[in-house]
Formats: sequence, structure tokens, C-alpha cells
Amino acid sequence: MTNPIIVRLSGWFVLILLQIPLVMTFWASFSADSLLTLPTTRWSMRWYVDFINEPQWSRAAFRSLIAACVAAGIAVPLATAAAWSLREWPQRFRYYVLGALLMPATVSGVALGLGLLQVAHALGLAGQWPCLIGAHTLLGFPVALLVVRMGFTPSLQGLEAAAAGLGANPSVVAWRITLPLLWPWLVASAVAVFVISLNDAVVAVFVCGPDTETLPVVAWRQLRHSAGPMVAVAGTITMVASLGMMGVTTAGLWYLRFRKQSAGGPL
Amino acid sequence: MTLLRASIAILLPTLLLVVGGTAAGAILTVRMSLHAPGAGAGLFEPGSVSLSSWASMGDAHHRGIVLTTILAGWGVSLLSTAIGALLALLAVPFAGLRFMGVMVLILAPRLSGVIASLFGLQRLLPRGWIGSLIAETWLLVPYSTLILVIALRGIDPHLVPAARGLGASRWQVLRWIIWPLSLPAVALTLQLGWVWGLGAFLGPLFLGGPDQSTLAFEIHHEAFDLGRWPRAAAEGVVLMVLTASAMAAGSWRPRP
Amino acid sequence: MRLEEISFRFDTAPTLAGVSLKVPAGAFVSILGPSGCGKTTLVKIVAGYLKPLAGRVLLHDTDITNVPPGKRNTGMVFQNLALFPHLSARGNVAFGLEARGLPSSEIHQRVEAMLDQVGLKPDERNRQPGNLSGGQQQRVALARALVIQPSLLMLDEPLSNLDSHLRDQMRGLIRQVQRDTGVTTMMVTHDPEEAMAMSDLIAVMNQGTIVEVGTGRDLYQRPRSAFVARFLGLANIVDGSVIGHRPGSSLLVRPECLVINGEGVPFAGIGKVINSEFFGADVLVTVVLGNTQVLVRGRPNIMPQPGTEVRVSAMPGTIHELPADGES
Repeated sequence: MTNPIIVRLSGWFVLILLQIPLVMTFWASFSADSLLTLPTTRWSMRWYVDFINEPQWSRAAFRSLIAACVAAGIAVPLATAAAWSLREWPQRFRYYVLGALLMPATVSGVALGLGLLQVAHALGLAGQWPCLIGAHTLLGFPVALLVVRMGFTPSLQGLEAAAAGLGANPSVVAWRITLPLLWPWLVASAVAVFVISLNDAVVAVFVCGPDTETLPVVAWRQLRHSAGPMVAVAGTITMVASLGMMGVTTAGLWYLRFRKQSAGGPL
Repeated sequence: MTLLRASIAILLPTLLLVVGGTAAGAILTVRMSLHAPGAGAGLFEPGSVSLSSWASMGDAHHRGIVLTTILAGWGVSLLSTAIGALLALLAVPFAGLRFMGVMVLILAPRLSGVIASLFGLQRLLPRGWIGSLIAETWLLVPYSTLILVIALRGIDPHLVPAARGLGASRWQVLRWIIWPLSLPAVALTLQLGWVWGLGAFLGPLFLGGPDQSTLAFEIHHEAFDLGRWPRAAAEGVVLMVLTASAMAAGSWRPRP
Repeated sequence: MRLEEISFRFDTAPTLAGVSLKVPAGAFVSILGPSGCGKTTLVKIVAGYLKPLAGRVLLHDTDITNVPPGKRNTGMVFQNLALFPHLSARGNVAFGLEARGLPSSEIHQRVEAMLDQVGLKPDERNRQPGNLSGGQQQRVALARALVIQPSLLMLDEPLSNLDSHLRDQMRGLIRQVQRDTGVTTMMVTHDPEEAMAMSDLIAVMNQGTIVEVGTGRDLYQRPRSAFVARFLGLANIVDGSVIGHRPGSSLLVRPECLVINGEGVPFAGIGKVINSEFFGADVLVTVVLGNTQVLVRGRPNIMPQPGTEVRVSAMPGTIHELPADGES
């Protein structure tokens, strides 16, 4: 398919425009000036050194990492169990249940944050860790569910039926057939939840207390007033972390797929 | 039958947690909106019942905010779908590693994280409604493009050569083949953009001026800057109702 | 239509090495070969979807090698038909005429005439492809390719997705419409029976080259290589040569030219039956003769059991000598 030349040219133009804000952030994080006047000609790593030495930033980065890992650790097993059991539900209920499970994704971020804050207040957990973890699990769950569901292909169903036909009971089928063939999808959904949690600035603003402020929340406070170069550093670090994580996972799954032509993965 | 019972048992806790968490949030938000505002440093008067926050929802200030929110919804919807279509048309003809490369560039704003995006956007865009509309669109375009790319790749790859072989020009192929076949996906991206635009928050917060206040922005402002929880909650309920009606309207299809 | 020394090399399609072919005006030519031999690549080059590395495509003595597909005035029926799913049968057939900007009255007239010719009933003409049967879809695809009055019609495995009953029916229809319109036609297929039944000429392809061109009868009875002999049907190929000819060549005899325990035919040899299969119209018997196995196609009333000894003889004039350098 070749497009009219105008479509192609404007497409490339927009694609380049799309990258400019990111290039800008990357650039600013290596600038030696404290007043962000671009373009800069002097390069330095001083803001990265400050970032590590300032507990406000480095602690927030550490918290973000923990929250993302724990949220992925909870959301993916829940999503896998949900996707597995959804198949057994009668057809006419299945789509209502699926719709209900995707509910957190349909509420806009601010409304979700506001609501979760009310729940946290009612439970006496406002501003504490369980509240943040719970919010990010909820935020990541719909995406994790959609990704894992893609792994339950007709061919997997065929293999499960074959195993059951050979006399394996449902739990043996689940452990010996379903999970081993599903794991690339589990990795993909874990990465998705991780990145969603790492980059959540909206819900976190509502549910984070002083002791649980994540990196986006700290950056947020700075951005609202005077955006210093530290925000650019935080942005570049999350950018590299997110992209790196996605890249490594994609490359890994790609490699596995070509090495052994398995039942198919997320690629 | 035991398998069905087991699967229901496995799903119930998750269902409770996910649906319960979201729904409890909504219900408690409604309850909060019915509280009397707190006197002095208090955020609200516990145990009280009052319609005072709802009474202010009809004033000129709030009517303006709701109008801005609805306009933001339509603006983001149209803009993100148009840009998404352009980028999807650009990406789809590529194959293999080149396709992956273009897709990484398209998804970069999403993959790179919200801090990097906001920092760069704030440096580059003018403050005002244009800046905040562009910022919101910029954050959504990767999703819209992804939906359209999936739809375009689902079109039988032989249709375009067939049409070209029958003498159709590139524009005719776009108008007569690609456009009608991707209409369902275009409707979906329009709906997604609408719902997303109604919740516009980061754009107005970091790039909007005083006149670009949307519901989401106002909720945050009332709750955290002014400490008026019942009012923030009432605005939250309005936002939820707007979003739900947008989703319902978007799901409606004329019966064939 | 003429192809001159077409070469092609690309990592996603089979390679072509110097393919030349002459198609007489109005003829039905089949490109026959195993999968991956480059026959579809060749058709895509003729249709203009791929550019050859070297060589020329000539249509009515005009070089069209660099003309884009839509300007070549060729019609193509794709393997999966590639009907536009959102357009009715009429809309599909009208597409090429609309792209040419013809007045709508003329489009209507030509579309209806074409649909009459391929035998699509009037009540089926407003249906979309998804609501048409396989045979009806085939008719629409054929009509869409022919309504633009192409100077060359190309069919890429047009019958491969049909069941055998429908295939026989469509085979007749395609050939009939082709005769009626007199359009020069090039069909790609891997099915030798289809090629022999439909074509005036067959070009057998293997590994990116055309190995032999001829009528179906010539290629089946007097092939120039063991590859062509085997590809067109079951073949017994044994070492040996006609007395007086150069030694080292081999002999071809088709299974249906051999007779078991026949009367009045020259004696060939006695062997042991190791397998016999019943096909309804005939039987296929495998016999070990000395150190070779031969297949014999016989009448269904004679079906020797495995283990029995039989006398195998060849009907006179049916043994064909393959050229010594013909092995491939």
C-alpha cells in the first residue's frame, strides 16, 4: 500500500514533531545551566549527581520502583486467574463480567483518584502504602487482563483439550500446559502494569501521602511551580527505564519466538 | 459443572476487589458531595447532609467549566483521530523491523513516561487553550494510532493491489477502500478521544490559562488548593456522568 | 504478450532466472509448477506489482515493463479473489469502470452485461461478497477482471479454494467466458489436470525457470525431462535406451500404458505384486520387476492380490525415450 505523497510527507512531519518534547527533556537534563535556556552548549552530568544525592528525589525514585513491582506482582496473577476463569463462564454473562472488570479503565483518572481517596479515607488508609499499591493494581489490572486474554488462543484451547483427553485433571492442565505456554503473555502484561504504575501521575497525586510520594508526584509539584532541571533528569531516567524495559522484553520475546517456533507470543 | 463453580470462585475475589474498589469510590464520592463544607481548616463536616455543593453546580462559573470540558472532549476526539489516521497510514505500508521502528517512534510519547512528556511540552507549547489541547492530544495520539494501525493491518492486503490494478488512483484507493473499511475503528478512536478529552487534566493544569479550566482540573483545584471536598466530589460526579453518557452515546450504533 | 529474459531476486519472493515466454493472442496459457517455483512472482511481474531485475514485458509489441498496474489494461483474479467486502457484487464489478470515470449509464450497462455473461443471478447482484457462495464470489471476481476489457487476463490459482465439484463447474465457465471474450489469458496453477484440461499451452516452471512449453498432450506423452514427466502425472521411469540410440538415457512409460497379464501384447517381464489400490474407475498396482518398482493402472475388474506373480507388458508405441541430459 502506498499513500498519496501529501499523506506520506505530512505523516513524517507529524512523526518528527511528536518526538520534539522528548528530545527537549533529554537535552535539558544534560544542560550545565540552572536556568533552562535552550539551546545550551555546555554539557554536564551535575543534575544527575544532585538527583542521586537529594533524598527527596532518590527516595521517590526508589518508591516508584517498589510500587511498580508490587502492583505488577499483584495485578498479573489476578488478571491471569480472571482470564482463565472467564472462559468457563456462560457466554451470556461473560461479556458483562469482562465489562465490569474493565471498569477502572473507563473512569477518567481524576474521578478514579478522587473515588479511591474516599475509599482510603473510609478505611483509614489515606496516604499509606496499601492505598498506593491498591490504586496502581486497579489501574493496571484492565490492561493486564486484556494482554493475558490475548494469550488464550484457540490453539492453546486445543492443546488443553488434548491434555484433558489424555487424562490430565484441570489443575495438571493448568500447571503443565496452560501456564508454560502462556508465560510470554504474562511477561508482557507485567511489563505493561509496571510501566503504567511508573508513569501514573494523576491517580498518584490523589492517593499519595508525604511518605509515599512517587517520582511523578514529586516531579509534578516542581512542574507546577518552577520546573528545574531535576524534573528533566527524573523524566529522562523514567524514559530510559520504561523504554529499556520494553526494549529488553520485546527483544527477549522476539528472540525466543524465532529460536523455537512456540505456540506464539505477544509479538 | 465443578469447573464452572471453581472458575466463579476464582473470579469472585478479583471481581469484588476491582468492581468493588471502583464502585465504592464512586458511591463514596456521591456521599461526599452531599456533605456540608467544613468550617475553618476542616475539609468537610462529618455526618452532615447538605445540598450546598450541588447548589453551586448551576452557576455561571460551573456552566463555563462544563462547556469547556465538553469542547475539550470534542477537540481531542477530532484532533487525535485525524493525527492518528495520518500516522497509521504512514506506518502500515512498512514491514518487519522498519514497521517496528516506526511504531516505536509513534508510541514514544507513551513509552517514555509522563514526566519527560510534560516537561518537554511545557517548554515548547504556548500557555492557553491551544497549548492544552495539543498537550492532551499528544498524550492520546499513540493509543488512537495503535487502534487504527491494528484496523488497517486487518484489511486484506490484496485489496489495495486489486484496486490499483483496476485503475484506481492512490486517492481513490483511500476514499473507496481504506476509508469505508476502517470506519468502525475510526468511530472507536473518536469515542476514545471524546472520553479522554472529557477527563482532560494534565493539559489544562500545566498549559492552560485561567479560562481553560476543565472539570478534572477544577476537581483537583477544589480538593487540594481550596480544601473544599464536597464541592470537588460534586464536580467528580458531574464528570462521571458526562463520561458515562459519552460512552453510552459512542456505543450506540444505528440498527441495520 | 511476450516475456523476454525476466530475472528477479528479492528476499521475500522466489527468484526468477531469465524467463522468456511467448503467448499468442487469444490463447489460454497455464504456468504450471510446484509451490515456490516462482510462478506467482512471474504473474506479479506481468501484472506490474513487482519490478523485474532485468528483462522486458511486452504487450502487443509495446514495452510495459515500467507501466504501473492500473495503466497496463490487464485484469487479474487473485488467489483469494480480493473482493471488496464493503461493496455489493455490482459495486465490485463497477469499481474499475468508476476509476476510469465512465458515465454511469455506460457503467450500469456493461456491469449487467458482464454479470449476465458469468451467470450471476439478478437477485444475487446486490449482495456483498460475505453473503455469496464460493462459486458466486468466483463469478464476481472474474466479471470484475473482465469488465474493463483487458488485453490480458491473469488468474492466480483461481480454483484452489473451491471443493472438487464446484471446481469442475468453474473450470468450464472460465474456459467458456475466455473463448467468448477472446481475451489472452495466463493462469497460474500447481494442478496438472487443471492445466491440461483448460489450456492451449502449458509452461512448466521449476526453480525460477521455464523448463518446457507445449500442449498438454505433448508434455504428458512426450516430455523432455524426468521432472516434467513426473510433475504431470504418475510415471514409470526406467534406465535404458532405444536400440541404436545413444546409451545412458531413460525411458518413460505411463502406468495406464502397462497391462497386467494382457493378451497379444509384447512380453515385458514377470514380477511380484506388493500393493494394489482401488480408485473406483481404475486400480493402481505396484509390481516389483527385477530391481525396479513399476506402477500399473488397470481396469477395476482385475485386481491382483499382494504376493501374487503377474506378467507386465507395455502397449506398443507408448514408451517414450527421455533425452539423456533431461534429468533435473
